[in-house]
Amino acid sequence: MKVYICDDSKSDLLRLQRYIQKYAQEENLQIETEEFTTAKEMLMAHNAAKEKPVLLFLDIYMSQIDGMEAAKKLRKAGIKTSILFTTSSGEHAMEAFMVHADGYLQKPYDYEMFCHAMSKVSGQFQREYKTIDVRIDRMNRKFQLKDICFAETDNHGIQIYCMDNVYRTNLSMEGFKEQIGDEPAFVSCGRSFIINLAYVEEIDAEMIYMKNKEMIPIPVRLRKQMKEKYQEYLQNK
Amino acid sequence: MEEKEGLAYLREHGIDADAGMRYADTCYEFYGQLISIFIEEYQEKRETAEKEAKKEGREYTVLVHGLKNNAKALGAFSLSELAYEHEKASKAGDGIYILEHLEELLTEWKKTVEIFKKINN
Repeated sequence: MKVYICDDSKSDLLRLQRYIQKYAQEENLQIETEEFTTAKEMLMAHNAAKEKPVLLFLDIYMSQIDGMEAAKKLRKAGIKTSILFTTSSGEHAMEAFMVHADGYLQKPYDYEMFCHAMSKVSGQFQREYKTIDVRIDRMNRKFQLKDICFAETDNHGIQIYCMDNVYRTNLSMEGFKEQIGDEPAFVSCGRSFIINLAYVEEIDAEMIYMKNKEMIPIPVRLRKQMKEKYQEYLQNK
Repeated sequence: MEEKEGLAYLREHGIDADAGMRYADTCYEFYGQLISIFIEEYQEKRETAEKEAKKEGREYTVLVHGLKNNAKALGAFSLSELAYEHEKASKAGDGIYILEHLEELLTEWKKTVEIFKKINN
């Protein structure tokens, strides 16, 4: 996922880059940063980007267009991307509230303060962009949870089904579960399957029809429960 | 200078090296990188400050605001406080204060850069 950093201070850009990469490593997230020293450059890049950022770090006090003005322009254009302002004073608190900023990072900040600010926004994209580490054909590979349709036990490991391919790995179902954590979209269907509810096309009395055209049989004892879990997922989505 | 020697030198010369290290992810090498940027930018920013101080405009406010932050993040609190006074004066349109205290700011700035240069050779 993309994160933009906009700050006219080179050292603040460097500091944020470092903190973001450290945080990504700790949280098992794949984050690519793009840096800008003026809000004008950032707005132009945002406008032209195919992959939009999920988070913006915006310095408030910059020459020409300041960070607050840039945030207002983005909101006016209907862009709801998370924004964290970086500033040394709290005087813009009300304006930040008005543009629905997700928080402040008060300069100077250490890594702990950075993590605290990130905790306010990370939950929403952490789920979507979380990755798991899997060994396939003696190579380490990262999968974003959002790309996995379901996993099925297979002899001594599991098969990971994505929309475009199926990957066989020695990772155990228990190991897979452990890496997924408490991600609400992933539910067990018997002992052999863990499915991503985001990829469910339909559920009938006996089967789950996945968007990758695979069908998963529902054990009799779980039929009611699976339907309920799917309904709950749809309601909370 | 090596880490222990470098940090001791900074402390002896009034820099809060512990704060600087904290804001540099407690990594001496990274602290050194941030100090390098501060040194590299000094000459150009100083010239801009001298030019903009006379204009009483927003550019001066932005510049001293940045200096205040960067100095503080490196543990150079004396310089940061002086820059803060200039920022307040600039926001208030107090051109007299800025011109009367410009030399004081520039001297402290130069002194701070010289201290940092010693450990960052």
